[in-house]
Amino acid sequence: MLQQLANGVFTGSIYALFAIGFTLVFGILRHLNLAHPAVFTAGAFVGIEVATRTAIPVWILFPVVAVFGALAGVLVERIAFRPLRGRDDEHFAGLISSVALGGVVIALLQARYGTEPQSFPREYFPNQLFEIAGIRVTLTQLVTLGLALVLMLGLAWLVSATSLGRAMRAVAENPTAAQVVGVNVGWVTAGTYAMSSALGTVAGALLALNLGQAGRDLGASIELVGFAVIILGGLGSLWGAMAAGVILGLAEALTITYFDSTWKGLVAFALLFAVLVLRPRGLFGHVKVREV
Amino acid sequence: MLDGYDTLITTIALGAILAYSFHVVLMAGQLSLGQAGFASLAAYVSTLVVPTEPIAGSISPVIVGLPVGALVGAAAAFVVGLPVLRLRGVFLAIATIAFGEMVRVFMTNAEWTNGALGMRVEKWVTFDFAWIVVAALAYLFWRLGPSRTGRAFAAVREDELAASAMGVDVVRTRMASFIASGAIAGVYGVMFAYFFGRITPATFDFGLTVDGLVTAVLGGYLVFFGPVLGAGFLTAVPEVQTALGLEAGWIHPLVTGLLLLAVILFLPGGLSTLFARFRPKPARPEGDDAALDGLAPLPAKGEPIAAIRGLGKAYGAVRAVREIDLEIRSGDVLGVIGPNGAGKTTLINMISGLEPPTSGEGDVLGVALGSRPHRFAQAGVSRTFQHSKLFDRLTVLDNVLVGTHPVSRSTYLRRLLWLPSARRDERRALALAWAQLRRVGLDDRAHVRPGALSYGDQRRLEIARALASHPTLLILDEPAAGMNHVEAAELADLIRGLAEDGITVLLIEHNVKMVLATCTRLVVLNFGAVIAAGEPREVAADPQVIEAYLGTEDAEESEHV
Amino acid sequence: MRLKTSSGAALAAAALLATAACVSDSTAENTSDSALSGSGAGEECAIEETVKLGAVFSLTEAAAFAGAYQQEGLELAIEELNASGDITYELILEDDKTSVEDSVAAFEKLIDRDKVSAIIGPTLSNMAFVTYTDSQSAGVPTLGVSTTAEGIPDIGDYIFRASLPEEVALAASIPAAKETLGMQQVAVLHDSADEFTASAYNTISDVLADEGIEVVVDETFETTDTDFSAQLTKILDADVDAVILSALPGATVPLVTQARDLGIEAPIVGGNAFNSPVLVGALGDAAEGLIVGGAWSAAAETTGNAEFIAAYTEKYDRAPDQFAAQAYTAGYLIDQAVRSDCDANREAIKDNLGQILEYDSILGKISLDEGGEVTQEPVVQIIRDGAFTLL
Repeated sequence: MLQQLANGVFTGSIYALFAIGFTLVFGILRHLNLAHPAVFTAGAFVGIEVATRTAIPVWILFPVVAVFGALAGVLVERIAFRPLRGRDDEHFAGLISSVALGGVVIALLQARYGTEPQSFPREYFPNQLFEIAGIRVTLTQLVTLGLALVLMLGLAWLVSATSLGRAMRAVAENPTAAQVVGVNVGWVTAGTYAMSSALGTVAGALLALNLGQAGRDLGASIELVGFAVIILGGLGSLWGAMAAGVILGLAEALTITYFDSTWKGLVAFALLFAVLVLRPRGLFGHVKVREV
Repeated sequence: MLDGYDTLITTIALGAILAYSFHVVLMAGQLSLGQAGFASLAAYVSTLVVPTEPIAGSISPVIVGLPVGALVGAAAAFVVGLPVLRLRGVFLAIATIAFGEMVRVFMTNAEWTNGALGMRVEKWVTFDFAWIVVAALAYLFWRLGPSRTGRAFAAVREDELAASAMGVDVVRTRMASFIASGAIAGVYGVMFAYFFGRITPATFDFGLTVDGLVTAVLGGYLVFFGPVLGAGFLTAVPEVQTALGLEAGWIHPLVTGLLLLAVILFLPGGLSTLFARFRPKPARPEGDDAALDGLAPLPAKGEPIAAIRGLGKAYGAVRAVREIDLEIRSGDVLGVIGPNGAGKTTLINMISGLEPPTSGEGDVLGVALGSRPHRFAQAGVSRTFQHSKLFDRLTVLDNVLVGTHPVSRSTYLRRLLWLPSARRDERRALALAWAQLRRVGLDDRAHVRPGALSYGDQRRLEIARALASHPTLLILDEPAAGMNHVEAAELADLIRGLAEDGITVLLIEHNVKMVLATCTRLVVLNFGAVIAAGEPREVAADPQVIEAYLGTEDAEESEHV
Repeated sequence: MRLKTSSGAALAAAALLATAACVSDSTAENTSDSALSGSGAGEECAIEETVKLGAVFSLTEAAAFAGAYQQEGLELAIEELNASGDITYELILEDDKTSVEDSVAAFEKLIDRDKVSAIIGPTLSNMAFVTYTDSQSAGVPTLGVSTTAEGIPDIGDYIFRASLPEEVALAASIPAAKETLGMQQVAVLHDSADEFTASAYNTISDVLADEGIEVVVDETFETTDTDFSAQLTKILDADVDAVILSALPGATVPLVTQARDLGIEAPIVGGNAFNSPVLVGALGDAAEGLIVGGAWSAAAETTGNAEFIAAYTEKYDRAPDQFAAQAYTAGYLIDQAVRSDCDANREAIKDNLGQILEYDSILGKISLDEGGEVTQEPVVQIIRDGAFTLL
């Protein structure tokens, strides 16, 4: 039982890591970036390649992956979203352009890495096991959980206490007004994408480290659950995404334990559907008063 | 005749059918992505009813499957729509995706579907059959475009609030598009099953949803043949690549992705914009004023229009409007003034049904306060908005045509049958619209989009749109804001002219000179309550009123108080 | 006037609908091309015209992990055949993008436009069920190389497969595992969303019942899942003798790793899809003791196996897997069928494919019968010291 709860928490922290990047962009810019899963996958592949080639320790690897992710994020914004700004069909078109860009990224990954899943070098990260109060956890799981918390805290600090964070919140509130009071909206947009994608690529590399390998469908496999997490948590709510990820992980683990794994797939979506119908702003989202 | 290309051509048809199921919701501005679920349900149910032998010797048994599939899809869409249609945008998208996934998981685990192993059926669909279905759909959408229903879809897509204020029943329109989408997706599911002869739950996965959405947007959802273009493009691109000798593998998705990106970025409105410029513009009708006969007469001067008692609106602890009693009689030109934040817009939002009051009661033209907005519009209340809410992707003329919604009859079904009465009704609506455009002096700009108009012209267009519904009570929310002196003076003339025609006007305005020049009665609001009411001159001289203005706002230009 | 023309159009449409709604009976026309039959027989057979062979594999999207190996294996075989004899083969390769639509379109292209003599593929049984009815009605001999699901050869007399059916592989590996491990109680874990693994699961259940082995835990997951710890914890708590796994390669690595991390010491038994060298590389120590049933083993001393592995590794810079080996063999089987009558017409290939008896291939002795089914000895392997070893 305790083991199952722990399983749920670890699974949930991966869900949450994937989802916070998603929700950051949505919360601030109202873009649903469907290229995010592809960037997430690219993060895993790049992480594996860097680890294989340079054998740098894991605590340098993740910053390197994050830098790659930040660059990728800026490119995604430049290519798929910026040209659409101000167009009537901005929102629909953004979905399609990001899907198309995601497809391009995946094709490029296949060009570089072939069709097979890639794996970290065998002895790259010590696969140490701990037994705490009868619960077995691996070092990678602990690192994942720890990193998820650190990233969340870091992001929360960044958004609440720095000038960039203030600018981001201003843009989230009203981009035009933010522009008027001197916020460089272009920079904030690029910065938001950079952060979102950096988080996404780190999450991808972490998941690959957990799984021991990464295939080109790594991002696609988590995409739909990611939707569920960001909605459950309330779109744009960082802590909500974290909490919702863990709740979803727990719900799935408990379904398998007490019911039948056959219906696990239904849990995330049934929960999501119910929340949307009963409480559309999500479990942790805020009510926004819209003016007529 | 097309040996070796049958499948390719049928794939285009199937892709187009799938895309039409997205087209119809995108037309109404709904990002609904549950089509995979509807298609799956329809396909599986159809395997239970489609006969295994040709009917009457030679008729494809799928003839039975199509209506069943459409019905299953529509019914499922209705049931799902009841709870989810309250959602908008991304929330609606994700809720419907969740529905699709639930169907997939259910089908994977159900016994009768044979789970992941799938079902095999006969291949009863041929390519000409598939194309006839596409032709039928294209026909339905071609006739829909310039009909009253089609305009309602477009209005809801562009701005739900404005659409409801123009008398469009937004809830019904959204549900109609949702059900139509379910029905078309159902047809797609059945066609797919009986063309390929096999379905598995994974056939109808999230990937299918993305394909359909991409096809619909790529082709363009503002033009009826968009889905066919989109499907043709997506099928042709890999084929051309093969013909060019590009090696199979990662290059193909790369090129397809880049081309898709290019189309989306450089062709707003999708591939169909390449063809849209050839569309004929509707000609200005001649001798049209005759068509205006037959509109219901406006009530005689002095008859009660609205009677409201104790009206209040609170947002949490904030009371935006409190205890307002208001009576409007036919022939009034009632001015409502007050400082910013006094509750003027909230007041008229309640009178036009956009916001329900939290206290008080009353009715406007027989419609009880708190009813849905289209009811007010149908009863004869029409309005403009403080921040103009024009339908940006419709032409000036089409904007005004939407305004005719409450005074015209639905023409779609009759247009499908080419009945002359539908043509007559459409001509009448056009005549009404042109008359209003002439009235505000925009008839020479009828075919541009509102974005190309000057600010003052946009405000006049809003008035023309509001007038097109032949209103009894016209509500104008700061119509002169941003206008220069000349324009404001013309506007005052226009308002006086409307009053002479018997239209009752409720005017919110900061421009006191204009208010004094047009209004027969004046109400002054401050902090949500009436502080003065009566003859314009008297009210303007009221010390309390002067205090309310000068106490809160520093001296503005002289003509503003 | 307007009304009249439109009702005319409606009539025409109705008439068209009536004709289109009719079910047409198309019969396979089979023309034999004399240029495709040559002189000599067997090794000496020489055919003037280039023999066109079609192949449909999943080179992109989900099943590309298998399709890429198949492409390489088949291309290697064709290259060797072209270098050695007097028959020139031209391989026309199509990518079905792991989609039903594209595989049907690819088959149509190969059959009607390219007019190939035979088709090899597709990668997945799912597509085979859809496409084989087309090659059957067009009369094109089609040889599956990884389509292991039940019932595929029954589609028609033009349909063959060189891929050991999953039930045969499992029927060999489960008893072998029972004997080695003495297993009485097992847990079964399978991917319920994938056709191949769901079909294998049915076979597993049957074989286990036949062998009198009790299933104490029976859990599922979905193809795209990445976390299996909840299911595995249930298995851990049940304390079983072995875990029988029906999963695609993508899920296998995390599954096995997570099982070992959680402390499941029981041996793991899997089917065809486990038969990949990549698995061993990615799993490391966790792979130890994995029992795999399949059609080919790198460790088997079959005719030409060592040469095949050497040539493949040299050409593609990676080790072949079972998918590559089966596709490679398929090239030789087709060649064999062409050479028996020195005739590369569709009819001749179909007739002779069904006559192949005990052909000595890298998969061992392999036979195809007229029903299209393959007969060969399955191999059961265990991973020891980081390498596949025959059990």
